[in-house]
Amino acid sequence: MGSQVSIIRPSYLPEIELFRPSSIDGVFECIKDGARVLAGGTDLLPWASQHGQPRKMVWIGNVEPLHGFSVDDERLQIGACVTQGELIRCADFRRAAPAVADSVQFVGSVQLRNQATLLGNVCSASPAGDTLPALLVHEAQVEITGAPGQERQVSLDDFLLAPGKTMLAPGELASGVSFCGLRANEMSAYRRHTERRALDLAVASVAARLVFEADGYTVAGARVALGAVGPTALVAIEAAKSLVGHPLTGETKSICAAIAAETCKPISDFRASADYRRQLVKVLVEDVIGEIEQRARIFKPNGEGR
Amino acid sequence: MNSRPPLSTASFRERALAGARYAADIIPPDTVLAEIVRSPHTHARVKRIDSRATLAVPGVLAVLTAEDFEGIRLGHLCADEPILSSVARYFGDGIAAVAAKDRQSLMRGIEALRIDYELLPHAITIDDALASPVAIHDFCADNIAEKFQAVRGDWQAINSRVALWVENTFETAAIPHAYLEPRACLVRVDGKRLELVCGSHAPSMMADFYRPIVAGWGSQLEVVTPAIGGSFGAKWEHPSQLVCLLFAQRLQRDVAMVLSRRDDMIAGRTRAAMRIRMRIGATAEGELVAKETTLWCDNGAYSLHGPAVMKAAAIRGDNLYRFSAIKADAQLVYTNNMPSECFRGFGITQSTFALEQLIDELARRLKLDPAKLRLSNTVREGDTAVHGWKIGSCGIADCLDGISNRIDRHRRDNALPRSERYRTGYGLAAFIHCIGNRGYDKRFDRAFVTLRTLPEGGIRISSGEVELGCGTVEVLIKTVARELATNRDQLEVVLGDTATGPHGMGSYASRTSFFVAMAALDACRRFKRAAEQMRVEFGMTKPAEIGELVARARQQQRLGDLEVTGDYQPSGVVVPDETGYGNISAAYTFGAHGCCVQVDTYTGKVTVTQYWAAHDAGTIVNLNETQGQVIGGVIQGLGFALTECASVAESGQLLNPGYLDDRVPTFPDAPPVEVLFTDTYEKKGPAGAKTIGEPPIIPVPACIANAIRDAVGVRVYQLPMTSERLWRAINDDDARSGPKGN
Ligand SMILES: Cc1cc2nc3c(=O)[nH]c(=O)nc-3n(C[C@H](O)[C@H](O)[C@H](O)COP(=O)(O)OP(=O)(O)OC[C@H]3O[C@@H](n4cnc5c(N)ncnc54)[C@H](O)[C@@H]3O)c2cc1C
Repeated sequence: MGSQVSIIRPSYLPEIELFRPSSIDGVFECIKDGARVLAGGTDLLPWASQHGQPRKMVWIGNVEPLHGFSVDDERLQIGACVTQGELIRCADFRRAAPAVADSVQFVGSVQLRNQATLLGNVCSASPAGDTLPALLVHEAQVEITGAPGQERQVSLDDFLLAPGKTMLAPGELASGVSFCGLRANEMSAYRRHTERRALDLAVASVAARLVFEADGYTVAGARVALGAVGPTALVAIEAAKSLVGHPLTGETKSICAAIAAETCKPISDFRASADYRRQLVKVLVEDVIGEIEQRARIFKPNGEGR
Repeated sequence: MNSRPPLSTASFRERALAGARYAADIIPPDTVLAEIVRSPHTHARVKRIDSRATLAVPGVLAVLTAEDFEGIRLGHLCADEPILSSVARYFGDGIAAVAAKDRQSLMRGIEALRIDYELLPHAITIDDALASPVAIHDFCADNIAEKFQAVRGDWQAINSRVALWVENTFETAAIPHAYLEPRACLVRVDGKRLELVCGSHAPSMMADFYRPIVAGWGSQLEVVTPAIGGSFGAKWEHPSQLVCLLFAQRLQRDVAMVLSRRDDMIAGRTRAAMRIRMRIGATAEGELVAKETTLWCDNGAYSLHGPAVMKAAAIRGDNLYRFSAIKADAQLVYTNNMPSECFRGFGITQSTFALEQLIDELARRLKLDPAKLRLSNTVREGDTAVHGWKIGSCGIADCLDGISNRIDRHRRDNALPRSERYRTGYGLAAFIHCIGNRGYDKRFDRAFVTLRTLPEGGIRISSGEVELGCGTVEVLIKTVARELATNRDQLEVVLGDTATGPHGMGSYASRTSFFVAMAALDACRRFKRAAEQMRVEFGMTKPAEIGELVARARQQQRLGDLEVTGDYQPSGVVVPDETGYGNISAAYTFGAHGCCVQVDTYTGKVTVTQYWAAHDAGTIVNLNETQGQVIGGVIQGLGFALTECASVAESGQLLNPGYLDDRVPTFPDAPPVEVLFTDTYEKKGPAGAKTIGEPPIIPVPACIANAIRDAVGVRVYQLPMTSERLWRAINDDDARSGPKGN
């Protein structure tokens, strides 16, 4: 019996044709020509070393408008070139989107975060991508640009299709991501389980965002999302729903956790088995809600502080 | 003869200031680059290699295959590793090699290579290999590379004394050595002379091994050692070096190969995975009587030091306790995994995971304090241990006391409320280790240090041993500066340069500091004798400033008379017999570790919150470096204990060839480590010193396992003790019953 693959390609970067346009138009020309978008390169370059491709890349770091980000009362808008390090150092961002801030804080290491973009994490669409569950509970919308002027907004949930697969069609660029900030009586958090404390990928992760009634403890609205327990980050609709209308108690938390664990779709691989991942989801859901409870008491959502 | 000045070895200070130059830093820009082309199949016979398209790629200079290395095999103990193989025996086995004038032509050439294989059934577990009808090597039909047995004491007599046996089966994982510097080598050509520049921990042994091969090609060989970014036992001979040597010899051009991190991991070496079935028997009062071990060692596809590692694992740790009777039965099994190799602790790290857990379990059963149980059973100065080790200075009692006090105090000061979710526990484990091993090489266990007074001033200290980060440079400078009363600035150290320095066995077996310091002391004695003779001859008055004398010697062109070579061979050591009996080392080191862990019972996650390491390393020559060695060993052991594993798919493919998925601990994972040293003086050692090298990793997995048992009442008998495995054990009622006793 013969065999198709006959060698392991040494893990070195192939020869890369690299374009560095300074305008969006320039980027599109390159994408149309088959070049792959290169942002921070922390996913793409290791991939290219291993697989020998892509060999044509367009670096978007020279495009000034893609570097912008804004945090206003209602929404946060993050451009494609904004690094995770920039975000985490911004106090307004941390206050407006605690779950996303938590998730960014977990990614890799300081050096990595100073290089990697938030949108790169989104476009990589890894099932374990840390920012994805957090962005999901903050109702993120990905801004897709098909050509200069042709823009559409897609919810992150729709954007993520499968491991490494997104709705981006050939020739399209994700120009930014926007998501809602905390409003009054809201809080969010993200937790993950890893074997190592740093530089590790989530074995399971959970983000949640809760809205409380004016009484301060009855849950008025909830969003829960799960990472590394399905082909993409998942929104746990039923689990979230179970909290609504109830105060947070040991029982309501544990019901929510049980539903989340039941509805997720983990796989078994060398990192962990499916049933262990379910167990982690159960624990993490309760932990995340516990964290939200604590935070909600620590500072008032109108920003007055304690 | 030597066209380049020898490369002086970087000190810690130079390393810290980024002044060290590693092999990859030395490669000149126009050097020919080579790569090994690796098999994507776990077990397959190569039917055909078509290199026509490769050779047609502009810039490609040559292709090598198995035929070019006919009859050449690597392996000190069993020569079974081909340089390039006509049968792929593991995922990543080297099949061909390509050399080209630059990286891009090289990559194009490799991509153009066509290899046809006939796939063979593979065996990646010990059980599969033993059951497999398919031999991994033609000469070994049953896939058992080697067997080992040892029986000591009167097994009839012990039965009446043993009141309690504890027994279990333990498994340890294959893990990569995880040095920071991937393998790299540069071969420089100077006519018929080839100079191999590569970071190896045993450059002279490498030269001994390669010289006859290179002589067969009509060339000579010298080995130069630049700065080494870690080895931990891995950097012995490797096919990449002979590939570069042959390309260089054929092309008459300098050739280099630098493995990428991934390739270094798939085609490197690992710690040998073992399955160890062990039982120990004791009297009702807690006197250790007997130990029986059955051990299977996963050799991987090629033997390297597998046979010796297996034997060490089977018996060496026994020497710590006064057992009356021992049985050991071990086999080394070929599998289609990456070849295993010695790795800090040389197999004892694996077997200590078993032994020290059983001792702990015995203490629990007998309701004895685990430190006291050990204290009343360990060997003492003057003992001849069960396998013939003659125990000299021995600080084990102080180590155990120190750890036991630390644990008691911590327990008292940190009495935490027991939560349902988080549990705290304390663990302790001990070890014994040797300093060098007279049995490693039948010829000798020996070191040399040469002192050469340089025409331009100063003294060059050379040795065939190397600096692996264990402070060899500092030990040499300190010893010579003190003995000759010279300023450190006057001393230069050149290690591992076979053309200009003496022979060295290499930096393994925790021997380096001890051996080089002893040889340096001898060299200094000889130097002083030579200087004294010269002083008398020159008619200079006593006490002559050494500088004056050297100036005079230089004037009269007599510096050569001041060149001396010191020699050290331990006395009273023997090559052990085939059952492993014999005093292999001049002195022995001891230690005990303790730790506090917190276990999250909901997830099985273990956090080591405090660690104590007590060592008897004799007189401490350099406190900072010795502490550093201990802390480094503990952190390395933490990875071995909890997170590291070469994950191999059923297909045989390595799934985690990188540090994202092979989880070597990071700084945030490191617990606070308190290091204690005993006040021991070793008469046979340099200024009372012993060594520290391997020991700090040896007891770590057992120490943590014992703390986990203390915290949650269960054990994970398999390394790494991942969160998932512990979570399963906590939720498995069978696991709660613990090791089976009678
Ligand atoms: C050591 C290490 C540790 C890591 N740890 C973590 C971790 O803990 N958690 C985690 O989630 N990830 C981790 N990662 C993965 C990685 O860093 C992140 O996914 C990162 O956010 C990617 O961002 P980037 O800017 O580097 O993207 P790039 O590598 O430049 O791009 C990633 C992919 O997205 C595409 N892309 C990027 N931007 C756009 C755009 N604007 N439009 C269209 N396509 C685009 C690229 O073509 C490419 O396919 C780690 C990676 C490394 C190397």
